Amino acid sequence: MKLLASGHRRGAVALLAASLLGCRGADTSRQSPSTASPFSTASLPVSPPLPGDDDPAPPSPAPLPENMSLVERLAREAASRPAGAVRTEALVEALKARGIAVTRTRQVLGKTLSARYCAIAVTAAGLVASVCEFESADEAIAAAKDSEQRFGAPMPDRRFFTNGKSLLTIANVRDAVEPEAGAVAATFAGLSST
Amino acid sequence: MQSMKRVCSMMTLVVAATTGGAAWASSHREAPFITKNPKVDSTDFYMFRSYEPGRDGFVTIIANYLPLQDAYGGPNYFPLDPEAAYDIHIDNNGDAKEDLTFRFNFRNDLARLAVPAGGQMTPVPLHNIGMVSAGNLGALNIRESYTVRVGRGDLKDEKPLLSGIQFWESLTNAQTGDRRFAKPSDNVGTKTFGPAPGYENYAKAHIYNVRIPRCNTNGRLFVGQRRESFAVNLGTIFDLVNAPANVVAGGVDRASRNLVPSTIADKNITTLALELPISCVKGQSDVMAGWTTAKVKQLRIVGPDASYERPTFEAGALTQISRLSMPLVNEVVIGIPDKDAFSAAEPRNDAQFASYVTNPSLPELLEILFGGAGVAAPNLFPRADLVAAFLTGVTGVNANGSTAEMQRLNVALPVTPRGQQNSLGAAQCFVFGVPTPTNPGCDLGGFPNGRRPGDDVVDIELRVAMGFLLPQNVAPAGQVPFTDASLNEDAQFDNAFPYLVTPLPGAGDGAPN
Repeated sequence: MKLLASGHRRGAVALLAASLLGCRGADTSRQSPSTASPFSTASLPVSPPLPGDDDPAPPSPAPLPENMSLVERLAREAASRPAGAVRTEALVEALKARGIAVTRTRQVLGKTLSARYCAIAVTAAGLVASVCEFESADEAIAAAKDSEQRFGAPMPDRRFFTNGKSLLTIANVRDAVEPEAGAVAATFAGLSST
Repeated sequence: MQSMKRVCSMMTLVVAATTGGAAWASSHREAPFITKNPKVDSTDFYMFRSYEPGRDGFVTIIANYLPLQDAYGGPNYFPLDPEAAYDIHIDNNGDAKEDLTFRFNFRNDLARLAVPAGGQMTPVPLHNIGMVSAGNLGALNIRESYTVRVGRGDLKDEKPLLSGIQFWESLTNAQTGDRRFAKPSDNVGTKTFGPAPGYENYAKAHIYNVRIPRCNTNGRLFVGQRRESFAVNLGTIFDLVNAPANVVAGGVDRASRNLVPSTIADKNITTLALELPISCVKGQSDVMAGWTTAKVKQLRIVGPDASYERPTFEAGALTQISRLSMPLVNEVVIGIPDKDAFSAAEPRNDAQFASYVTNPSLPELLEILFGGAGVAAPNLFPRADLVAAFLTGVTGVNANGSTAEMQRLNVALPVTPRGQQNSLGAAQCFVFGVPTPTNPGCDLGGFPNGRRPGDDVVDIELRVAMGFLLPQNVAPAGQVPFTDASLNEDAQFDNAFPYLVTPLPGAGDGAPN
């Protein structure tokens, strides 16, 4: 067999082939990520490492703004919140004071509505209160119209309110939680700019 | 640890979503190791009651392999791996172990066509050197063929049903008794096969009526190249940061779900299709589960003196490196650290991956991207709805008692003819998670009750991931009509076995630019 022309390769291959052909002919599949394969690589000839093989990966160059990852974008938005805007944090504190339970909050991408920063708060009843902060009150109003135009058909259960530079979107409004939605809106309206 | 794993899973998806790539097809190049082995890379798996008129007593099972075939990919085109075993498994008793396995093995014979050159016959470098048709193969240089065997029982021990018989029994051509079947050549182009319907006629000649051991009724068999059947808008899905948000959340009607052509519409795949009599393959339950795997030999030595017949020396036990049942699982559910493990795992051992289903990352990503507009992920952990959809089946529809990632089909539910199928499948049969067969658009014949080619699994899974099957108070965005804006529907497919349509030609009329 031409494959086995070389003496030392013949020995290594024969050893490996014999060990593997002695395995069960039935299918084998790894049972879990930690189960070792019966195939041993111990006797395979190993090429010496080349210079640079073990060097750590170089750092990525700083991305252009339009090429930023989602994580980088969120960090950038969090670091550049506009002054004088009503914030989600304030809304959440005020809601808690009114006895409206907020189960969780999270920063979300402001770019979706061309905002400087956005965050959501979800109540125990499933209402979603999204507060987005803009450069100006005019931008907040424009974003509300834009959101209604783009998302109005697929998401008809939303309400919009502005307070200075901030836009509140309340989503998942339905009959059962209409009073709570009203309370959230009223709470937002009563907040002062930071 | 759970929250850290969730964060890591989310971050992995975020990084993937923003660095681009072609991995959001149903299961195309979805795991790191399988990208090195495209010939055994499964792409889609379908299982449905045949809706060809008069064939509702049969189940059609389709396993597609070898993704992203460019039609012009000569001179070798896309034969499958003769060293691999391609399996279609059926569990018909709900224990997450195969009860039947249909194993496909391939062979590629070189005719060594040659032409005279300077007084000697010189082998040609081409796939064919003239026109080819079903009865005229003289110009075909590479002739592909395959066998199909059925094994009944657990592959772990390959114990025959009865003493004195083999575990593996061959399917045979019902007309000729042959065990070996010719596979049609890939669609090289219209000069080779003539203008349409030249290739289609040639391919149809390779649909076989087959005798299946221990079945009283014959089935049908086809293996060959088909046009890519999965529709997805990779740009919208995989570059979510820049995708129009109103597109992703705006699939209110057919038109809005069909805004852009599929990114992979100019590709072909290779199809393994079986049509089996239900009476022969189902167990006592009406629910049968299926999946496909591909296995290669453990040892591969690349020879310095390669030949066509023996470029490598391969030996050892067959080892699974590809696996697929429900669409998109290894694509967007399993985290990168475990994708290769999933490819090698068996359904009976799927408990190790459960946290990817109970604590999925995709909804978190959609919340981050579209939360400004009021989208929020379901706040319910563990996600019992996803466990039902992916791991157990839905109670009263296609649950079969096991917890494992398999495609489950209730063969007692009615068949929906082409033209009446809802591309949102059986998802429309639920209202806030409550089975409601009277709901407008309910189509019990569709995904996730099995999967038909015309089921738009991307749209269905996006919506289910965001809580379509959950009450509104825990899934605020559960009713938002998410879509990738690239539509899969029944009109895109044939109304007869093997349903998937003629592949794009490599050259000539109809060839992709």
